[in-house]
Amino acid sequence: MRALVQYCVNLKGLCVGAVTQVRTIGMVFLHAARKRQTLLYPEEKPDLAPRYRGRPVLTRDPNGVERCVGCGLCAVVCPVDCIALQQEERESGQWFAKFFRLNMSRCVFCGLCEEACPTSAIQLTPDFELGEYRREDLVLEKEDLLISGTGKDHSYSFRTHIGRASAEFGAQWAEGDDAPQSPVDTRSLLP
Amino acid sequence: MASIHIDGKTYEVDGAGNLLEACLSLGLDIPYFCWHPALGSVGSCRQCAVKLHKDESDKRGMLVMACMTDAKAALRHGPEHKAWISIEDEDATAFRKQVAEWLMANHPHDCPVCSEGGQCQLQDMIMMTGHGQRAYRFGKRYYTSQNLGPFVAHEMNRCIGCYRCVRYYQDYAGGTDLGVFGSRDRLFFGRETDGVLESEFAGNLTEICPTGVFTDKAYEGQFTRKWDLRYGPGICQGCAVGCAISAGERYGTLRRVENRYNSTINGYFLCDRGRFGTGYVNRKDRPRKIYAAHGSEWHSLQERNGSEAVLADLSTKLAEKIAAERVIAIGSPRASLENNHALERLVGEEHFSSGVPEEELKRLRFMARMLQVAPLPSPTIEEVEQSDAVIIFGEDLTQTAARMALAVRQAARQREVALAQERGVAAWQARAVSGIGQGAKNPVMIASPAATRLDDVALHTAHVSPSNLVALAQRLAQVLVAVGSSKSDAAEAVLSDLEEDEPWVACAVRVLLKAERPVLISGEAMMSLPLLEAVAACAAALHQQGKQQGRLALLPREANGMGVAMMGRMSLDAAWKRVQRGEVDALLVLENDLTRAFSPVQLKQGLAQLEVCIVADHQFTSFAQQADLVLPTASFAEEDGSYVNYEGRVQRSYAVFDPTAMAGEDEIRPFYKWAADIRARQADMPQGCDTACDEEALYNELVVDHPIFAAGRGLSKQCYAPVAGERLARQSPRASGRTAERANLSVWDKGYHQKSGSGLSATMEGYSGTEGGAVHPFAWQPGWNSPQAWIAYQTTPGGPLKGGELGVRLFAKRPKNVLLCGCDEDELLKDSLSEGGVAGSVDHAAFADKDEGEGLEVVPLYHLFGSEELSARSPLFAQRCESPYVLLNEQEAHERFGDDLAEGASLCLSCGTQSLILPCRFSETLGRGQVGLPVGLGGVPRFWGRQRVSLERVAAPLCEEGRP
Repeated sequence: MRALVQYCVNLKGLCVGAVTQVRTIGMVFLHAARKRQTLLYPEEKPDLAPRYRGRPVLTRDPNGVERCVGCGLCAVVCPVDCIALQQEERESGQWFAKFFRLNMSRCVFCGLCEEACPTSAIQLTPDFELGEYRREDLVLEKEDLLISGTGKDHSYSFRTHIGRASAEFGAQWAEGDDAPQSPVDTRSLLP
Repeated sequence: MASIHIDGKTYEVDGAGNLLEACLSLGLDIPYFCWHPALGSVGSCRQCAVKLHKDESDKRGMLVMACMTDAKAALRHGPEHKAWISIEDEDATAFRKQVAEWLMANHPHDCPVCSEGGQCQLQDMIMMTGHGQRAYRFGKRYYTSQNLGPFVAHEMNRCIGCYRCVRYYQDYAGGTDLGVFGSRDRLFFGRETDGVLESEFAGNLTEICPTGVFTDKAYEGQFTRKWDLRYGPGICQGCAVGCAISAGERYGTLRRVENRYNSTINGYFLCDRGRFGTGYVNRKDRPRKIYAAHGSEWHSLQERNGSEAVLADLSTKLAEKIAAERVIAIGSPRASLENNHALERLVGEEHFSSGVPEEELKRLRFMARMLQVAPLPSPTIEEVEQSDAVIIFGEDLTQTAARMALAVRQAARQREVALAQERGVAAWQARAVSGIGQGAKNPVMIASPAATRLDDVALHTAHVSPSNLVALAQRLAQVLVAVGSSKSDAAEAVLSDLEEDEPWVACAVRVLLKAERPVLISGEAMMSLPLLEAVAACAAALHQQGKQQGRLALLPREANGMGVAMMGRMSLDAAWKRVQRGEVDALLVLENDLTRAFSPVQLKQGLAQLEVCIVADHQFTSFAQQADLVLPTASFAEEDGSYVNYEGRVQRSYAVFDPTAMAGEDEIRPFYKWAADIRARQADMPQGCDTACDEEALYNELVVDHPIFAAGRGLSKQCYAPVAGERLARQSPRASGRTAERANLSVWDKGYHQKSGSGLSATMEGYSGTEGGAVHPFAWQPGWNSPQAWIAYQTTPGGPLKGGELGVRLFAKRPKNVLLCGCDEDELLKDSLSEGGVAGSVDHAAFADKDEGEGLEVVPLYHLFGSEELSARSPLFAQRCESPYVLLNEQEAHERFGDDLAEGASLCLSCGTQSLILPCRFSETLGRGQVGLPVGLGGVPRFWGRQRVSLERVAAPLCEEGRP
């Protein structure tokens, strides 16, 4: 009895195997007639998701002011230490990056800088064409990185949320609708 | 010892201080704001709540503020001197989180644009409490912040109302112009109106403030996060106190100076000169390459073949001149021992001068000698803080040795602590102490020519001319001896007789006799050796009275004045005489601006005799501009070097950065490397021999020639990592940008140069724990990014470092057999130390006669900002430095020049062939027959001090500082 069962199982396996092989061969031949998945790059460009992690850029806020305040959080979070920058302060008290250097020959496109950025300034874009003929050209400075648009984040403006109190933007310390309209009167002793 | 049970674990504690201190020193994290090791507890922020249980079985317990709970009381609370407390308790944790949320309600979301971010106690404490999400979503109050001058930035919106700033500024530092205004949640910490903070210690607000209300403006101009700074454990170059600093660099420029905690000298605080006066390191006009003046023979050589050829030529020429003994080398009291010694070895000891004028050198040697033989030892700053009476002769301490002035303020405040302790109240109970003390002060007595910044804590001030000052000190010694040897009734009779004629002396004698730990302070300010001798005589008299706890502090002027005096060798005047006589062809000057020591005529006479004048300096001083050749040397931030402070403590300052790392073109090198290079060329040795440039080897070479420094050997052992094969990290573990910071120069990464034989690593790689020696490049521990991290390095909060004392005192054992080279101090001291000499030599009348001499006596005045040569070159100081002036007694000025003489009118000082035209100012305290002149300020040469001058009114409007 046991031998009979064994025989049937083996026979079933044999049949299934044969059918699978035939099906696979069939699929291969079917694909030969299908539309191509690969692209004829560089003539054709791929359609990448906005969240694709390619070339980093520095963006501007909706008012067209550069978003980067030079806080250094992207540099500190970078696992390959490929960002070096220097903060500077404008007359108005606003911070901005005096220089912002990104060594693309070191970048691993991990996107941690984007995640750490409190102002949405640095963003990774779907551009992956980063090849250069000279290694030196892989070192990007602020002029190379700064774009004129807002990038993926269209509305956020750190500076109007929270800036150093400045003539340009007014004292924007207070958030929300019930924000006090004037600074604290420090000479008042009223309860 | 008693045991304390914290969250189920048992710890042994000594029961001193409060619970917060006990927990922190056990390494347990409790958040706090209003408590500070130097300020004590007030219990106002409610952040450090812990639960105190009666015993093991008490499950309920009660919430207490750890900073306000006496550890002893807590131990008594439970049976058998045991205490059960819980930090992790649910209620306590929830309470602390709640308090953190209240404090944060109005705190702005501006950490990315706040220069405190990354070194912020508020950030640390908020992480510690676990308050991550804010429920408060309503409008926040906002303030108009103030402009507090060039050093301290003010951003009131970040305030959490802990009161530490006013407690430090008013109570600790004695400032009057920063206070708290408003009521309820509208508290405002600032000045009444915008304006420069008056206190010379205002910079400490940046470290005292737990958040970003007060931040360092000098740093903000060139801000970089704390985690990105490369730190070097340095020694401040501002004065002879020698405070320990942590200087930080980024991208090849010095960014910031922070306090480096040590209990013996600076504790938690620096003065503003030390904190903000290092801008000269970053000056664009520093000599960065070998510079050969136009017209000199080196210039064409350099044009043709570059610096290398100049150096080769220099080496051969110098060798010839040295062989012919026609060279003089002038060292400097602002250069390190190693650099001075390298110069000495280069030219031979007979041709080396310490670079200090004759008279000053005598005084310095006297001070150095006093460290060895004076009856009373020199106090550390900590000892000054703990003293119960201070007498200051001639120094305006706040301007000449500011950190000591802050210590004197603490000495005065110690009276309140003593009164509280008599009533069983501990010193850390800050409010209770001031309530009991009611402003009582330990006596501080000041005798000086004019008002000083310490007058507000002084019991009695005497404004006397410098020569009368000597008489006063001598008189004090005399009376002390007389009173000491007589019976108490007779002594009282003597003193009451004195009351009327010499109230200051009588008061000082009473104070000294009553005190247990009196400190006498004098120094270089009055440029008077007799004064130092007289003060030493007072110390001798005190010793005779059995005041062995007494201390005598004599303060040199510059960072390494004591060091070069101990090296001996000839004075600057002796050297210059040889130059003027034409005995010399080549002059080599190390980091010394001779225009401050000699008149232009003298300089010209000397320089005319020379074939070549070589200056090695890190600044283009007015003297370097007259040199044929300038060798660019390293400033303190770029080289290792040892300095001897006023108490004979050798301390080593370590390089912060390599000036060639970011700009490969620079030729800046420590002078000892230049000297080694020149010597190597002369001996045809292989060039660039780095072997002799390890700091310990250099020091050992120094000790061979100057055994007086022997105690300082092995100083580098204070700077080591307690892990085999590791060095001390000089960057935080999270330093950023190492593959990008130099990428604009070269895309190929180059590691930072690691110096061989050093205990310090140039980068983040290495040990950054709290063990090891006394030297720690910076304070950082996991969870503790702010300067409060120093607590982890201390044995007890605010106590000594785990690694021991910084530096080594050369005369801790006071050996009697080491003699200073070539100095007849024993002769010098004979009069002042034998009591008979003192008693017999005082003659009041003699000094009175001398006062009647011709002309007016110049009283040297000092300013914290401007009098010191290097810090005055810091661009930031330009806003705080005053321009030179002459100070006159107001009445006398009007008598001499008529009533229409107003402040600011030009007066001409002349002495011999010299003259100066300066605007005048009036003083109520300066005596008649004197003119105050701020030496050093704006380049007023020091030789004017203590001259007798005639004064004329000039019609001409204020012109630039006159040179004949």
